[in-house]
Amino acid sequence: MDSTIQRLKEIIQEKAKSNGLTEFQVKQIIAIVDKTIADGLPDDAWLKDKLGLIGRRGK
Amino acid sequence: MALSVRLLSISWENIRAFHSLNAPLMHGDSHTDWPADKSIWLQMPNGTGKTSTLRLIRSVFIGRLWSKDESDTNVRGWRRITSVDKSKQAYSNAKSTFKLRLKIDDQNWAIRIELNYGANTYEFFTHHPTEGVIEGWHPPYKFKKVFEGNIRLVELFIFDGETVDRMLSQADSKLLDDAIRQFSGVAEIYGLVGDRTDGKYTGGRLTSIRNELEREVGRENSAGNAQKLTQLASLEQATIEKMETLKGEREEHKKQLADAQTDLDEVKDELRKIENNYGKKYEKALELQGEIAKRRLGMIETTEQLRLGLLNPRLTFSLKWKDFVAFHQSHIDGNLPEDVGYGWLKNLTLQKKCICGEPMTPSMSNHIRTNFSLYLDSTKRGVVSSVQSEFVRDEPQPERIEDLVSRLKMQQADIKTHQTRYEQDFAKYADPEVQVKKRSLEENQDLLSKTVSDIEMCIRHIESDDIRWLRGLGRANGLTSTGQPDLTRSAILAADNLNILGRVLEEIQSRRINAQGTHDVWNGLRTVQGTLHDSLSQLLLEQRDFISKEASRIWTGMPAAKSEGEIRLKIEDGGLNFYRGTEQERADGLSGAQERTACYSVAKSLANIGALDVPILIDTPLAGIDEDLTEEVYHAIIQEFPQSLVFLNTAEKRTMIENSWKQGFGTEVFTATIHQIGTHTDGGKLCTYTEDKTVFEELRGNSDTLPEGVA
Repeated sequence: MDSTIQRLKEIIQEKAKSNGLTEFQVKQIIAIVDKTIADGLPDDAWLKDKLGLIGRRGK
Repeated sequence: MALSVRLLSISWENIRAFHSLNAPLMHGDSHTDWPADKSIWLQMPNGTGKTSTLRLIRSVFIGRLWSKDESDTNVRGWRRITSVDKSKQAYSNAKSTFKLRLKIDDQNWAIRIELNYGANTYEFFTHHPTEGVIEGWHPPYKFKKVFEGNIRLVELFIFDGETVDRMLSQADSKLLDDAIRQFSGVAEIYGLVGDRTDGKYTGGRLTSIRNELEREVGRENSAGNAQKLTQLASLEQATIEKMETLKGEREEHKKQLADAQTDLDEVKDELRKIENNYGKKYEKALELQGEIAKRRLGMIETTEQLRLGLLNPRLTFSLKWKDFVAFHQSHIDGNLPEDVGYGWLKNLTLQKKCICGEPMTPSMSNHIRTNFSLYLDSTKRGVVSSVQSEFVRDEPQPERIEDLVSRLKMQQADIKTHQTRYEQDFAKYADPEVQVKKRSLEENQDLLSKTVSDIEMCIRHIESDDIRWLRGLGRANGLTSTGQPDLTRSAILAADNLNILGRVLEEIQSRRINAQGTHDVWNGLRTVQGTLHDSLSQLLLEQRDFISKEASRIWTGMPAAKSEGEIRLKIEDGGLNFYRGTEQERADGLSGAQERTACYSVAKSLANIGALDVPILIDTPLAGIDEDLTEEVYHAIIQEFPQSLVFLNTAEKRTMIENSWKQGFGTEVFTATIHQIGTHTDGGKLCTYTEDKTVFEELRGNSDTLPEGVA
C-alpha cells in the first residue's frame, strides 16, 4: 500500500508539472495528500488555508 | 499495513434455523477453533441457514447489519423460525445473538451481534483480547480501515452467487474500482475529491468547500456586478438543465442497452447449445472450430500490425507531398498519438531528403517550418515527437501497408473457406429445422450486436471525456475551437456531452466566484481538484492493469482456465471482461466454473494489493456448475486462499465425493456438517454440528434427515 501512495505522489508531480504548476503548489498538494492519508480528512480551516496558498501562487 | 484474519468459530443463539449452536462444538466453557490453514467445507442442507450465516458474517466484518437492500433497517427478518411447517409462519421475538470468533493479527477477538425485536434494533459487542467485552464494534484499526461500512466490498471476500453476477455486471461496474481504491490504501484521498461523474466532482470534502463558496456568492451579490451575475446564473441554470436532459437520455439508453444485451446473451446461449450438440454428433466440428479460431487470431495479429503500420510515418508519409499534407490536416481525427506532430516535422526539415524521397530543399524546409501550424491541431503544437523520430532512426523497414492489407484479405478469405466448410458439414449432420433455427438465431445475433453497439456509441457520445475524439465526430459543441468552454447560450443548448457541459459549468461557476472575491481559495480548489482527479484516474488505470495481470496469472494457473490457453481477464469500465489472444477478441462462452474462478482470482489479487491475508467465504460454490467442472472450482478455492469456509449443500457434497474426493475425502480439506436432528420444543428446527465423516458422507437430499443406521 505504501508503494501505491508513493506512486500517487509521483503521478501528482508529473501531472502538476505538465499543467505548469509551481514547485510550491506541488508541495502544498502533496502536503494535503500526506495529511489526509495520515490523519484522515483535514478540517475545513486547514484545507482552505492550503487552497488559498495554492490559488495565490497559481495566478 | 498487512492484515491477517482467520475464522475460528461461529455461535448462533435463537436466530433463524438455530436454537443454540456452536461450530465447532465447545468443550465445556472453552471454544474449539477451526484449523487456521485449511479449507473448511461445511455441509449445510438447504434450510439450515447458509445464507443467513453468510450475511451475519458479512455484518461482523463491516460493523453494521448487512442487507441486500442498504435502506432495509428492519431487523425482524432475523427472528428465530419456530415452525418447521412452511405454511404456518411463526417466529420467536426473544433476543437473537450471533458471535463470530476471529484471529486478527495473531490475537483472538470475537464480535457479537445482538438483535432486539421489541425495539427493532441491534447492537454490537466486541470481545477484546485483553480488555474483555466492550459495547460496540471495535476491531483493530487495520481491520476497521479495510472493512468498516463497506457493505458491497465485503462481498468480494464473502461470496455468494450474486457476487459473481455483480463482478461481471455492467450494472455494478464501480464495484471493482471501489475495491481497488479501498484496498490500495488511498481511499482517504477520495474522501477529498469525491467521485467524478458527468464532468463534475461531487461528494468529497473539497466539494463541500466549493458549495460553501458558491453559497457565499449568492449572499454577496453587489449592485456593481449584479447584471453579470444574473447572466451567469441564468447560463448556469441552462447548463444544469441541459445536463439533466442528457442524463435522462443516457438512462434511457442504458435501459435499452441492458434489454438488448439480455436478448443477445440469450441468443448466444441458444446458439452455443446448438453448436455443442452438433459438436457431439460430428467429431471434426471441434477441430474445424479450432482452426477457425486459430486463423482469427492470426487475423487479429495482422490487424494489429496494420494499425501500427498506419501510425508509422515511414509508411504513411511515403507517397506524395499532398498526401503528406492531407495526413497532417486530418490529424485531429483522434486516432493518432499526440506525439505525431511538430517534433517530427521539425526533425524532417533537418534531413537531406524528405520522407517521400524528394531532396529537402530550403524552400520545402522553410514551407514546413512556417506552415506546420496549418497542418497540425493546435493541441499538438509544441509536443516533441520523440516517438516518431524513433521510428525513423532505429526501426527496421516495416512491412508495407499494401502487403499487410493483402495478407489480411487472404486471411479473411481463408477463414471464410473454413467457415463455409463448417457450415456445409453442419448442414450435413444437423436436422433441417435446427439449421433454420441456427440461421435465424445468427441473423438475430447480428442484429442485436449492432443494436448493442449503436446504443453503446450513443452512451459514449454523452459520457466520453475524450474531447479529441468528440471533436473528430463534430460533437464538441460547447467548446470553442481552442478547446475552451463556450459560454454562449446557443453553444450550451447545442452541447450533447456531459463532460463538455461539466467544463462549461465549471467555467461559469468560476466566473461567478471570481466576480465576488475568494479567488485564491477558489483557484486553489480547482487546481487541487483537477490535479488529484487526473492523478487518481491514472493511478486507477495503472492498478486496474496491475490487478488484471495478477488475477489473470492466478486464474490461468487454475484448472478451469488453464485449458483455455491464451485467455485472460481485464477490469474495465464495464466490470470484468475476458479476452482471448489480443485485445480485440472478447472471450464469450466461458463456463460458470471459469467465471467463478476468475472472480476468486480477482478477490485474491485485491487481497494481495491490500496486503490482506484473509480467508474467503463462499456460499454454494458449485451450484449451477457442470459436474465435470466442479473439481476445477474446488482446486481454485483450496489453492489460493490461506483459509476458506465453504458452505455446501448435500447435492454439492455428493458431486464432490463422486467426482473429486472419491476415496479418502477430507484429507485436503476439513469437513463438518450442520444438520437438523429434530424439532425443538419451541417448534423450530433443532440443528447440530458434527465433524463425523460418516454423517458428512451419508447425509443426502434436502430432507435434513439421515439414512437409517447413521448416527
